[in-house]
Amino acid sequence: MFVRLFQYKVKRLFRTKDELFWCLVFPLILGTFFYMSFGGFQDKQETFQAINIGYITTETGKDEDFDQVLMLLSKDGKDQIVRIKTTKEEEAKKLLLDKKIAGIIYNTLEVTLTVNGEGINESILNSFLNQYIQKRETFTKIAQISPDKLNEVLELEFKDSSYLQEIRFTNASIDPMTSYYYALIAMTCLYGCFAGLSSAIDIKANMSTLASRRLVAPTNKMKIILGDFFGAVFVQFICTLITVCYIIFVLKVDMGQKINYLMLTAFVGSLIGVTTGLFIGSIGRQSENVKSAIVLAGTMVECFLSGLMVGNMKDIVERHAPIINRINPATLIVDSLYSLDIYDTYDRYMRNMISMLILATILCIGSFLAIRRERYASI
Amino acid sequence: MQVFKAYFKILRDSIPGLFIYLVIFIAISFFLSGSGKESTATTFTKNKVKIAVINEDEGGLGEGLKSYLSQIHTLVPTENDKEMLQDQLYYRNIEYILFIPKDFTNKIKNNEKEHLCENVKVPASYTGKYLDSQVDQYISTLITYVIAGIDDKQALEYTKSDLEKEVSVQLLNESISISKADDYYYFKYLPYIFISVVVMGISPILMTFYKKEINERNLCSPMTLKTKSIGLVAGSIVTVLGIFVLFLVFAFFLYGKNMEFEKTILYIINCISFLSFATGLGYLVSIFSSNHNILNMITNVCGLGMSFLGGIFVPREVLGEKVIALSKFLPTYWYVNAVEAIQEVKINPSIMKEFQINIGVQLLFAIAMFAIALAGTKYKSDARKQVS
Repeated sequence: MFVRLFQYKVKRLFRTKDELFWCLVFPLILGTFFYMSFGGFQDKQETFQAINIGYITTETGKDEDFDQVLMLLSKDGKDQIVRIKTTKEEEAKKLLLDKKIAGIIYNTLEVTLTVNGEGINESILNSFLNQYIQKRETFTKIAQISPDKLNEVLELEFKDSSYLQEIRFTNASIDPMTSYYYALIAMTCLYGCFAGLSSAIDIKANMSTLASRRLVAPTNKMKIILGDFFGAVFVQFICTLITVCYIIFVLKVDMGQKINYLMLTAFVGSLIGVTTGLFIGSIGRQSENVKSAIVLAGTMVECFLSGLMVGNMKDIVERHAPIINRINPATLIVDSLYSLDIYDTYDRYMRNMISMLILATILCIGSFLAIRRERYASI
Repeated sequence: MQVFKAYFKILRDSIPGLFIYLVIFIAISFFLSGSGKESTATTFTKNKVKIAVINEDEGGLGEGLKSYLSQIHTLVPTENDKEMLQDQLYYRNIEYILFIPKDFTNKIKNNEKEHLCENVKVPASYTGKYLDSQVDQYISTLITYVIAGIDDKQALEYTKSDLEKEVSVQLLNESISISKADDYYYFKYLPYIFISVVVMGISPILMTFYKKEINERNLCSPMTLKTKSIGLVAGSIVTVLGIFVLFLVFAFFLYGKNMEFEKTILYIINCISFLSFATGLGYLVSIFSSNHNILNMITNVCGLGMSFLGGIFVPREVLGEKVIALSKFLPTYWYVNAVEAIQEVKINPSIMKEFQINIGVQLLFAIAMFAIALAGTKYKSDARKQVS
């Protein structure tokens, strides 16, 4: 009996195009948007594009060494860092005003930089000049104090060395954009709320004709509820897995090595999604449309707070209102995935999982209390 | 007038639902404008980062590095306990941990250059990169002095004084402020909100009119299609204006003190041109979608898609070239362009021309939307196509 009910629910969910859209197609579309938006980011970093600048210099009083360094850096080729667009002051100012160049480097009595606002290119120029000035200072000092060592020191300068070694508690590599994909997985899980909502509607005789028909049957109500519930969780879990596979295999995003735990998170996430929908569907007498609007908007807000639209939203919430991060299911899912990646212990992962399970249980009990003993002699 | 009145009767019914959306999206716009400011890397303004330095160095150089960092950042005192450090990092009480090993001084003296220190940072954060470069620069300068045979104490002093030297950065114009004003972030994120609120606000009402039976019934009336469409469009425009005024009042409430008159006017013009597009989109969507759910789908896909690809959620510098080329086909691209132009209008009046172009393109998008929508109404009113 139970198996049959389960089967019906699964069939029904896979045939409801609207719900399938939210649980399956929408995450894939959004993932593709992410990929299009940030996919180029990596390439951009690897194939560094030369920054356009203006370079103003005078014959007298200029820093000859800087002049040489800059000429070296602006030479066409693989190592080109800057591209000198103009050497005339008026023209440079005009170009800077129109943001055609990122900054003007003056090499007159001292080296200075003029910018028009801030941005990535501006800060690269700034740190490049700082480095130059600091190095120059160092070498001038050494030339004064121990000139005999100068050659040795200069030689050293041209060797690349990495003084710092980043250690992580695991050896996963984390891309700045991965957090968006985590939030996307959280969203997919939480969209289980639609399946949950429909499960609730299907057993509330005052909400749908299908439910009034079903409740006439002598089937045990608990069996119907459980069948629907597990059917919804199952379908949602499948949808989440498809999304995860799409992210890993099609978009080729590195999601770490712990696939088993990832799947467990997806399952618990789907569970919490479905129970949310079930709960909203069970309480109150609003129409289905209002309820689905509430569910959708609520899920959107949860996902927003976990970083779906702005990647570092989770940190901002952590700084200002940490309690939200402890109870927001979307953040809990994102956090679990995160902690899998960055910690070698499972403490935090388990903490998040347990929070989710508690939330799911509360929602489940809540909806059960709302649905139980609802009987209609005539409707 | 009849249609116009009927429109508002239906609107009155859907106000509770609309209200939920408005509250949620006003809250989101508030958060977004706040986060926009926090997420941009500020480079010219030095901000202090909460860091921990675990110094086990037996020589004196490690202490030098530690005291240097403590001067420019906030040092959080901690013990070298892995579990505790993980927790601190997790709750962001610390954002960067630097381990200076026992043999730090020795390694430098022996001219070793690989992996002198270890660090743990918040994954993929700006602060992490920022601190990395500071530590790198410090160590490399220090090594230079040590190799040149200068004694430790002197080397540390020189290193410190060298690193204090910085290039002087000037602004092109006195009146530009280096960081963007709050209102910039607020208005930059508005298109996402507008698409969602406008489409969810007007489309359900219009959909009622285009419901099959009602539409067919209305087509039988002697009222011309034109009069009817005018009534509906007028109703939509009034609703959208109402929504817009609400968001504008909210903007004044938040940022009114700092907003200049000229900028405000330009913002309003920009918003209105984008809103006319959003209205057109809402009108179009309502004709072709048969239920609430489809409406939701289209709104979310359009809203998020246009925002991501048009450079609203992610800075345009991050987008790939192909995406930027593609995004020119989205009105959000031109909206963001206009917002950028508004920031510079004061120092560069010639940018007004660009602003006008941006507005013009947005209006063209709006006209296109309305044209398709009205053509759609005509199509739907054709009796021969109503058979099914």
